[in-house]
Parts: sequence; structure tokens; C-alpha cells
Amino acid sequence: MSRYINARKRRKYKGVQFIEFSLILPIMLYLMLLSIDMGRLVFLSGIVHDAAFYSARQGAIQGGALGVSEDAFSQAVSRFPGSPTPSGFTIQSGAVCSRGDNIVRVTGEVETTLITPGLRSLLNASSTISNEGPWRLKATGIGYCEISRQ
Amino acid sequence: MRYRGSRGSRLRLKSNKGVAFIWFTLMTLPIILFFCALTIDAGRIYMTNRQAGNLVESAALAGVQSDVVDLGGKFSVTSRFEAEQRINQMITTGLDSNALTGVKPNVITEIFWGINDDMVRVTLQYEMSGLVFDRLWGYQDLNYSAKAVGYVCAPGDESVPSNGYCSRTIQ
Repeated sequence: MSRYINARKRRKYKGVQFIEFSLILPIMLYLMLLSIDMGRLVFLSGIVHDAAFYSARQGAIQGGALGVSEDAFSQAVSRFPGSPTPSGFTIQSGAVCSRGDNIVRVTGEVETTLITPGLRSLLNASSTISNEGPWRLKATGIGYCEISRQ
Repeated sequence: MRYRGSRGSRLRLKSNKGVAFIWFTLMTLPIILFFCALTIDAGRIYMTNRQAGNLVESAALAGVQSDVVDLGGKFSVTSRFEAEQRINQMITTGLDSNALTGVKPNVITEIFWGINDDMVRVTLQYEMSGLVFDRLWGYQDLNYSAKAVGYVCAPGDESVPSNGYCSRTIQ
């Protein structure tokens, strides 16, 4: 079909592709950033969950979550490429293993920065979390105290 | 002399201008949205399975940490009942403390013991909630599961079997 279009018309449409491409480019870049960020979040979320369970397990082996678990959590998280920052760690139960308190339950938190503009508010659509600052991922891990029995 | 086309064909060309763009948008947008939804669902299924794996692993370990009896070099749990209580306690605690998120409440725990009670296999069956394709594809009818095996190991033996986990401090 194009061979029927004369030279004058071709000149008229010169650069249209460039304009169309420049229109679609921001959308493409946005989708690319979005997929990178979502992938990172899923991967990091897995790391935080594993780290929380690992630290609970370490606490359970050592006779309590106090002192041991937080280090274990930081160590486990630091294996993630880019070393995300552990931003919180809470012992919910099993600080010191005893007959009445025999489940170590810990919650670890990690923060990361999202690179996609607007993704934070998109993810926060139904929550009351502030749209400022880094994104926080939280996970709970549990472990059963290994109390030695004679 | 170059053929410049009839007046009619030029008009047809002009009237079709922009149609390709509309078609392209109409065709590609649903495809892009479909893949976005698929990716989100797949990510959620993967994450939940990972959480369930961790939870069931802790439960299996708790099961084999029951009191053990020495059967001439082989060790087994003294009471299956007590061990199963621990397993269920761990699962309940995990569900209560959001160690497993995005699942429907009807979680089923299956416990299978080895012949000598020296091994326990815990299977957790669950259904996902809130998936994008829930209604469209009938995902809600699918059962997902995670399983882990716990072994009662000999005292001092800290070697972990390749296909399971070993309780370490039984004395």
C-alpha cells in the first residue's frame, strides 16, 4: 500500500513513528519498573519469611528467643542481594523456653525502597499506612522449644 | 507516470486512519491485563506455599520432639497422641499469628507416622482466598498443599536426612 503514497505524503508522515514511540515509551518503562519492583517484593517477602522461621528455630534450639533470634534474623536477611535493612524484630512468645511458654514466636520486619512511582499508594489502596518512606515487609516465624528431657 | 491512486482509494485510506491503533489497543490491553493478573496470582500462590512449607516444617519438628524411647539403638516417640497435639498446636499458633496468610479458614492437617513411630509426615491442605482469577477460572476449587517430614534422630546425631528434618536435642 505504501508504494502508492507519494513522496509528499511520506514527508508529511516522517517522524510519526518517533512521536508514537515517545508516547508509548513512558508506559513501557513504567510496566518494566513495576515488574522489577513486584518481583523484588515477592522475592524479598520470601526471604523475610524464611528468616523469621529460621530465627524462631534458632531461638527454639538455644532455649529461648532472647538474644539469639534477632541476630539470626539479621544474618538470614543479609544473605539477600542488596542487603535489605532489618527494621524491626519482636519476640511475641518464648523469650525464655519453659513448660508454660514453649513456642517461640517472633516477628521480623525489613524495609526496602520501591523504585516505581505510585506503586506505594497502589499497594496501600486499602490500608492506612503512610505513603511516605520505605516499604516495610513483615513476617512471623514460629518454632517449638527443644527442652531437653531426662 | 507514477500511479497516485484513485480518489476513492485515497478516501478509504484517510477514513481508516487510526483504526489500527484502536485495534491494537483493544487487542493488547486485555492480554497485558491478563498476564498482570496471572503474575500476581502466581506470585501469591508461590508465597503462600513457601509460608505453608515453613509452618509445616516447624510442626513436623515439634512432633518429633516429643518424649522418645530407645528401642535398642532406634528411637521413636513415646506417645503419638502427645506428638500430634504438638503438631496441631503449632499449626494453630501459626494460623493465629498470621504465619500463613491469604488462605481460607478450612485448613486441613494430615499426619502420617512411620512404622516405628520414628518419622512423621505432616501435610497441610489449604485453599487460597482473594485470587484475581478466583471466579473466572475456578481456582477456588483447587487444593494446595505443603508437606514436611520430621525424624526422631539418635542423641548426638545431628545429621539431617536429605528428605526431611531432624530433631536435634533429644536426650
